[in-house]
Amino acid sequence: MGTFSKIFGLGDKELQKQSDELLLKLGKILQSASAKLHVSADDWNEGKTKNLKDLQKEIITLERDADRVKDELFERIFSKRAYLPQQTQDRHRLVIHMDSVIDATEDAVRVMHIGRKYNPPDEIHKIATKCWICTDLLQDAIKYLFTDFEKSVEFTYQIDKVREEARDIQFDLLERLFNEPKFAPKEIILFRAISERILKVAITAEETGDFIRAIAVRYA
Amino acid sequence: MEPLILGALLVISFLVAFSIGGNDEAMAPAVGAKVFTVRAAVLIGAVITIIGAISLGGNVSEKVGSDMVGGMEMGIDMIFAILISMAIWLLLASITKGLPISTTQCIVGSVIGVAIFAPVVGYADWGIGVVNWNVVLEIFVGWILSPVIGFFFAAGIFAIVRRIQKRAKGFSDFEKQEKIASYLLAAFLILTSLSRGGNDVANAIAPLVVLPDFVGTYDLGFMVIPRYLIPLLVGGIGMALGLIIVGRKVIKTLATEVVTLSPSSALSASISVAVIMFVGTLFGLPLSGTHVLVAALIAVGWVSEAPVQMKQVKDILISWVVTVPISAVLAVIVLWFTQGLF
Repeated sequence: MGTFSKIFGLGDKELQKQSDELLLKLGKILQSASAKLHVSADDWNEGKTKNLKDLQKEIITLERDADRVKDELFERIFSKRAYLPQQTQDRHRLVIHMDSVIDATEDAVRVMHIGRKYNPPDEIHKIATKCWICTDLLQDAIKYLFTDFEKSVEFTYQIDKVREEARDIQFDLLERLFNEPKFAPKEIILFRAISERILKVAITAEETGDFIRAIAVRYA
Repeated sequence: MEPLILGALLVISFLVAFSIGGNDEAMAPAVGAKVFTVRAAVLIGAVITIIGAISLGGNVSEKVGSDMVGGMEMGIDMIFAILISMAIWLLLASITKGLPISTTQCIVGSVIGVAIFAPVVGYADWGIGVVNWNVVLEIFVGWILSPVIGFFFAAGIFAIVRRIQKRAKGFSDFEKQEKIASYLLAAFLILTSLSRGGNDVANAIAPLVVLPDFVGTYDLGFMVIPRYLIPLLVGGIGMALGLIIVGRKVIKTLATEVVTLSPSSALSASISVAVIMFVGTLFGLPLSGTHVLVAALIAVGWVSEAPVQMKQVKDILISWVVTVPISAVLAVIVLWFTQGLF
């Protein structure tokens, strides 16, 4: 069967195994980066600004690892007919979506690091928590995509809900930033930028969830 | 027969076979579903066609369009006018736009043209009166029925397949289903190509196998081979080369420019075509395999909610409508130029 798979381009089992492992690794990197972003927001909130630099470094390293995993998947596996072409395309797009979440996490922690000398409003921490929940749910959605469409879709709806909560918190923050006199112009610009970057993590997680839902709806 | 004329006949048969191979769309579903690349499809198709032509083409009893002319015996120049005009139109359609044309439609058009024009070149008994219009009408009804039946049957089959597919719990289950569909599609189309090789070669070499030069056997000393293998081989190789050189365009048109296919949808369409053609043959309905296949592909695309490229469909439909009159005119022209040559 394996030989015929190769002849007909229907997939090499060894490559499929490696692909599963790499996809799992990418998922772990995604979750780890998001967790570290949450820790960064925690530490910043608690004034432990010295940790921010290390956390930034760790997230950047994770992002580079993710890029390597992504390249490996594209160059070594997806280009070699590990799966049927249509399923390869779906996986390819899923990996791109997952990578965009990790990229957003790196952006967020970098901007957070820039603003380390300022005291962050509570909302920043709350948004980071929501983002962390979003990526956690995304992990489950990805995991169940392969075994249970129904459960996977359920998780994607939960991501939508949490992302909406994160957005509401961001609007609360904007409301305060622009209407409370205690914020200096620099702070307004900085906190707005930071909150947007962190929220972007939840938005990209939601977009990934939407894509997963599209696959599930198409095939289920 | 004079070697020169025999050689010319073999060349003409080869060209006819080449044009038939060049318009062979049998492998299109596999390419559309990306089970085979175009290159793999034409190469596998070519090899299978030759095997089919040699192994299944032995019982050639094809009488080119004789039903339509009340069983009247055609002259060899008439037969070749029909075949050459068919080859010209098939090649034109394949090379220019990659449009899948019904070989039967070409033959019907050319037979009508030749039958009506024959008195002008000395066949006094022929003329419009010999054309059996009831048979022609029956064929026309078949052409209208073919896409309609093909569409609804394939849509029904694929709707059932989709229902079964919905049992897949996750992406991995779905992939397994598609993988199985890929293997079945590959095997199914190889079998289809094998039988097509055997059937279609008849159109190209029918006039040759009755020649005394190809009756009997060749004794090569170490083995004895039947002489009819020569025209079968010429026909098979012609079809194979046609498929490799020209056929990829027709396959690409059907595979990628009409609808997006998956292995399961392509398999549903292919099985539908086979069932319809089998039942059609059983009940004596003159259905066109090409028409049924095109309609079936559109149907599975429609069921899977994939966008159907209506411009391409329109081009295909126009080519089907103009095939009969164009083949008739071409056959008249060819008969005029080749009269007395054979």
